[in-house]
Amino acid sequence: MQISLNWLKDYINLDGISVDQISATLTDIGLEVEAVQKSAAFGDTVVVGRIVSAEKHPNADSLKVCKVDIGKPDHLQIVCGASNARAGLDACVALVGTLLPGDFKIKEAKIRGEESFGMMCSAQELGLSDGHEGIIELTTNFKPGTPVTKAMGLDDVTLTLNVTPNRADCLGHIGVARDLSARLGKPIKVPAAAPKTSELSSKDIKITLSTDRCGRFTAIAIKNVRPVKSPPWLKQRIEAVGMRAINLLVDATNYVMLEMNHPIHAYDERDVQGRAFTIREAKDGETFKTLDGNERLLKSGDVLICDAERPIGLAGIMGGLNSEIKDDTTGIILEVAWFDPDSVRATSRRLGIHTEASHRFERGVDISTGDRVAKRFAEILQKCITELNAAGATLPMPEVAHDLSDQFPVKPQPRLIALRISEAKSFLASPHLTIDQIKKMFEGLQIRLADQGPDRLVFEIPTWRVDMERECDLIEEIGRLQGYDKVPYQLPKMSLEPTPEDALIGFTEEARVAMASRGLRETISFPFWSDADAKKLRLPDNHPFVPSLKLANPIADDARWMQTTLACAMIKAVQNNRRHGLKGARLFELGRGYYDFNAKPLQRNAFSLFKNLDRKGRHLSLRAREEKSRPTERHWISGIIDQPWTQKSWDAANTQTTFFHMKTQIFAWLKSFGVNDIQVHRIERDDVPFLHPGASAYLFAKGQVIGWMGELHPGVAISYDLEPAESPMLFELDLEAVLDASGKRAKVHTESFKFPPSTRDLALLIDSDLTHDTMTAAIGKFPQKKNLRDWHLFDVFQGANIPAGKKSVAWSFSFQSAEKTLTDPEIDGEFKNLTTYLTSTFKAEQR
Amino acid sequence: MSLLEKSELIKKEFETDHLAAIDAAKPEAVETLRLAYLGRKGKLTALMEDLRNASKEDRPAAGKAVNLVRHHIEAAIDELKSMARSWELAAIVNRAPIDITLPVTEDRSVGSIHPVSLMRQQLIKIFRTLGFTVVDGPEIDFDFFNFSALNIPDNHPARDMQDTFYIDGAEKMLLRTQTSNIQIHTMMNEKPPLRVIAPGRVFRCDSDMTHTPMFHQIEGFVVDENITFAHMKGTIDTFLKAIFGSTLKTRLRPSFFPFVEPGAEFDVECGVCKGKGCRTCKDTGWIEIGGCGMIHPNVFEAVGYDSSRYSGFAFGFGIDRIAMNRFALPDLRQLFEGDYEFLGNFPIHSN
Repeated sequence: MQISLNWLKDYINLDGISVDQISATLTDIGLEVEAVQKSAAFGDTVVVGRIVSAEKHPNADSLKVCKVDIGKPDHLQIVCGASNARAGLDACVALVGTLLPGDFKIKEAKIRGEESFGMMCSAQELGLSDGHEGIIELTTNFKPGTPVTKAMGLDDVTLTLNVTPNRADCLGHIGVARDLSARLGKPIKVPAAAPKTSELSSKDIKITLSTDRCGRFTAIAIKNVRPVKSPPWLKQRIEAVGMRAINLLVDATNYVMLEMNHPIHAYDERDVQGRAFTIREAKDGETFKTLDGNERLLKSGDVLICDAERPIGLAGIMGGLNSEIKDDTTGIILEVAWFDPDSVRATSRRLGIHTEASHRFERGVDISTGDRVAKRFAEILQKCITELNAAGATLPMPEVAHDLSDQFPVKPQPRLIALRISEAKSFLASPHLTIDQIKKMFEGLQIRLADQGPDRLVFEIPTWRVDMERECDLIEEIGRLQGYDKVPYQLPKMSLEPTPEDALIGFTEEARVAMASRGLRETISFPFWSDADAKKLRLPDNHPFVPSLKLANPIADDARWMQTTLACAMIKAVQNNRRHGLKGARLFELGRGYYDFNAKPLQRNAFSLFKNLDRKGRHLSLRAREEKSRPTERHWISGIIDQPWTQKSWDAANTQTTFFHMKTQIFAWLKSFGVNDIQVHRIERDDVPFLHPGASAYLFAKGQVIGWMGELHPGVAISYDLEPAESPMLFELDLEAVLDASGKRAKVHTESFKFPPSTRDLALLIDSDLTHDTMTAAIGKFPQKKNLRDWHLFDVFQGANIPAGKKSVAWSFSFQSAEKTLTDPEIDGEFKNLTTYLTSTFKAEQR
Repeated sequence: MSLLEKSELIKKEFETDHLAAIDAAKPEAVETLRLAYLGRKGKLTALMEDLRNASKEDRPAAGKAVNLVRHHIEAAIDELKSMARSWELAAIVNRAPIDITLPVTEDRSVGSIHPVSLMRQQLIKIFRTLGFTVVDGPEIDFDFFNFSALNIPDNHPARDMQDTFYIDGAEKMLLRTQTSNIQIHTMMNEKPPLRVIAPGRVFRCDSDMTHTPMFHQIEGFVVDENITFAHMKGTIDTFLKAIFGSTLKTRLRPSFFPFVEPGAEFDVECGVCKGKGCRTCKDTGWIEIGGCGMIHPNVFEAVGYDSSRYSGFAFGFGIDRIAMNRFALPDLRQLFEGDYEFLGNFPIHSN
C-alpha cells in the first residue's frame, strides 16, 4: 500500500515532523514503512521564472525573445516558441545544465542569431503530461527562482507501507492518519462529505439482494457529469500512489477508495437496464466479460451484480465491459457496496484476478459508511469541476441526488470488548500504564468507551476495525501504541521439567556428523521428482518407491512429485557435478520419503524388503496418528560415492570406487553407533531395480532390514547422462531402523588374551560362487575348535591358472590361548584338523 | 715367530683395524672386524689353535699373553657393538629430509556438513543451554495443523502471506509452509510447561533469485502460567545476542501473524554498520530476523488448553539466510545444488 505524505497531511497536521520521524513512527506502531520515495523532482535547476518582456524574434515570426526574472539581479534571455509566452506570465524555466526527461540536456544556444540561456517548459517537456498546450502557466504566487518542484506541489513523498492483512482500515489514507493520531496525540480532520444536492432522487433505482454475500448495496444517481481530465492535484495524488489517472469519474472513485478504503464503482446510467440492480450468486458455467476484456467462467458462489437484463459487474472484483464509463457518459449511478470477504477472496483467487477492489473487500471494508462514501464521491466531483471552471473550462456542475437507494438488511450489532486493566499491565509487564493513558489511546483510535468498572474498560469496536475480536486485540493496541520498546526484558521463571524429546532428533544430528566423518559431504536438495524419474529409475508401477503424492501446483513441470527415496536426488547431484567436470564426488543427505499408502497400498509381498515401509510415522500428535488419510514420512540417510575412488597423484594410482569402499564406510558408520552385528544379503528378485543386480545388497541388523546399497544400474546411469562403465555407488539407510538397532547393545567381550598369538595361512581352491559369509560361518562352527581365535581372508584370486568356476582364497588363522603360550605341535594339530574340515566341507583343494 | 711375538703382532694389527672400524662408523665394519679376529677363521681363533698345540713349558706364559690379547679384543669388540647401535640410530636420524610440502592427495576423505545444518546445530546448542527441548513434526500435513488450528481460517487473507503447495486430489493436504504446525502437534501431545524449539524444512510455492521452494525454519515456543510479553522480549534478546554477538542491539516491531496477538517482528542491529545504515541493511540499521508474538487464545483453545490459565509466546525465523550471512555466501540457490566443491568449503563441527 502506497501513501502520499502530502495527501496524509490533509487529515493530520504533521508540521515539524521529518519524513524520517514519520516513517519511524509508522513502523513503530505496526505500519511498517518498506520504502520512502521522493516524487519525480527536477532538482533546483527548474525554477519559477517571471516573463518580464516578450518581443518578436527579429529573424523568425513564430519565435519570441523573452527576458525572464529568475530571482537574480540579471534577467535571463530565452528564445521561446510557445504562443502563450507573454509578459507577466510565471513559467517553468529549465536553466542551462538541466537534464529533462528523455535525456534532454539544456545548453546555451544561438537560435536564428539570438542567444538563449535556458528553456521555458511545457507540461510534456517536464514529463508531466502528453498534451501540447504551450508552456506551463503557474497560477500560484511563488517568488521567481523558487524550484518548480515546490511551486507545483511535486515535493511529495510516497511511503510504501507493509499493511498486514488484519489492518484493512489502513488501506486508506484516513486510516493511516487515525493510527498516527493515536500515537502522536494530534487530532484528525475528516472531510465533510457534503455535496450540493438537487431535486434529483435515487429512489427510482431498484436494488434487490438475493444473496447474503452482499451485506449492503447503496446507489446514488448523479447527472451532468463529464469524463474530462482530472485537475492536476487529483492526477498527481492518484499517480503518487502508483495508480493510473484516467478521467475525472474514474479517478474520483479511486480517490475515495484510497482515502476511505472503500472501493466503489460508477456505472454509465444508460447501461443499467431498468435502473435496477440485482445482486445474486452466479450459476455454474455462467460467463461474464470483465472490463479488462476477459471472458470469465463463473461458478455458484461467485457474486454478480446484474441490472434488469444481465450481469454488469463481478461483485467486489471488477466491473463489466458492458457498463463502463465512456467518452460520452453524462449520467452515472454510483455503487457503494459491501461484499462478504470470503466470497470475494474465493472468486478472486480462483479466477486469478487481484484488483485494488478485491484486495480491500477480502480484508474487510467498513459496512456502515455507504452513505458517507457516496457523498464524498459527489463532493470530490463538484470540487474538481469548480476548480476546472475557475481555470477556464466551462463544464456543467454535476447534479447530485439528494437521497440514496440503500439496501442494508442486517445492521451489525455493536461489538463490545472488555479490557481488564490489570491483565493488560501484567501481560505487557507495564505496571506504569494508567487508565487515563489507555483511554487516550483508544480515543485516538476513535474506539468509543462504552462502559467502565474498577478494573474494566468496555469498548465499542467501530465497524472499520474488523480485526478486533477479543481482549488480546485490545492489549495489542496498547502494546503497539505505547511502543514495544517500553516493555522490559525479562526471562521466564519456569519449572525445569523438560518437554520429552524423541530419540530420533539427537540421533539425526549425530548421524550427520558421523557420516561427514566418513568422508562424505552433506548436501540438501529439493524433494521433488519429475514425471520421468520413476521410469528412469526402472521402478515397476507397483513398486513402493513410485511416487504417490503429486503436487497440485508444482513450481515447475519437472518437480511435480514428492520423492520416496533420496536415491534420485543423489544421482542428480552426481549428474550435476559431472556436468561441471567434477568426478569423484562423495555426497550424502538426510531427508524424507513421502508416501500415500492409502491411495496406493504397499505391495508387502511383492517387495518384501520394504514390508515395514508403511508403519506409522514419527513426530505426530495423537490426533494425527489416528487420521486415516495421513501420508507416511520415512527418514532416510542416503549417500553416493562417485568414480573414481582416487585419482592419479604422487602417492596414489587412479583406482575405481568399488562396492567395498562404500561397504567399509557404511560399516564403520554403523559401528560408531554400536551396530556391530550387520549382515548383508544379496537382493533377491528386483526389489531395488535401480541397482546393479550383481553388485547390490541389503543390510540387516537385529532382525530388521536397515537399508540397501549397491552400484548404480548401468541402465539408470545412462538415463542420467552418466557413463555406464563409471557407475557410482549408492546407499540408503532407514534412520529409525538404525536407531532401533543401535539401542540393542551387543555383548561386551571382557576376557583378555595375554599370551602371544600364532598364525597359520591356508590357500584353498573353491567354487567361485561360495560366499565369504558362508565360509566364515562354517569356520565359526569348526567342530574341533580349541584355540582358534580369529580368522580373516587376505586374498581372493580368479584368472590365470585357476580353472573356470573356481577361485583361490587365502585365509589367515590366528591361534591364541588365555592360559599359556601355545606350542607348535598344539597349533599344527588344530590347523591340520581345520584344513581337513574346510577341504571336505567345501570340496576344496589345498593349494 | 713365537706365540708371544704372534700375539703382540695380532694385538698391533687389531689396534689398526679397530681404529679403521671406528673411523668407518658402520655397523657392518664391526661385524667384519669380529669375524676377522673372533670368527672361525679369525686371527685370534688361529692363535688359540696355536696355543693348544704349543709345548707344555711354553703354554703358561704364552697362554697368559694370548688370553690378555683375547680379552682385550673381545672387550674392544663389545664396546664397538654398542657403538654400532648408536651409529645405526644416527643413520636413521640423519636420513635426507623429506619434502614436507608435498600435497595431501586424499582430500576426498574429508567430509563436511552443509552450512544450513551447521547453523542449525549451533542454534540448537544455544537453545539447549536455555533449557529448550527439540521437537519435530510432519512435513506433509493437513490444513488444520498448518492453518486452521493456528487461527488462519479458510480464505483468510493471511494465507496470501504464504504460497502453499497443495497435494493433488487430497482434501486439504499440503506441504507445511511453516514449522508452526509443530506447535499444534506438540501442544496436543504435551501439557504445559513447554519450552520447545522445532527446526525443520518448510515449503512455499515460490522460486527466484531470493526464494527457494524449500527452506529451513526454526520455531520456538514457551507455554506456562503467567508468561508475559516481557518474557518473550527477554528470551528473544537473549538468543539473538547469543547468535549474533552480545554487543548488538535487538528490537521488536509490531506486526501480524494470525496465531499470535500481539504479534511482532524481531530485528537485530546490522553487524556491518553497527546500526548506522549501509547496503546490507538497506540503510535501516537493522536486519530482519523473524516473527514472534504471544500465542493467540484461539490457538490454545484449538489444542484444548485453558486460555485463561496459560499464556505463552512463539517465535520463528529462517535459518538459510542467517547461514548465508554467517558464511558470506552470495547466492541462496547455491545451497541446494549439491556442488561437491562448494560443499567442501565447510567444516564438520561448528563453534
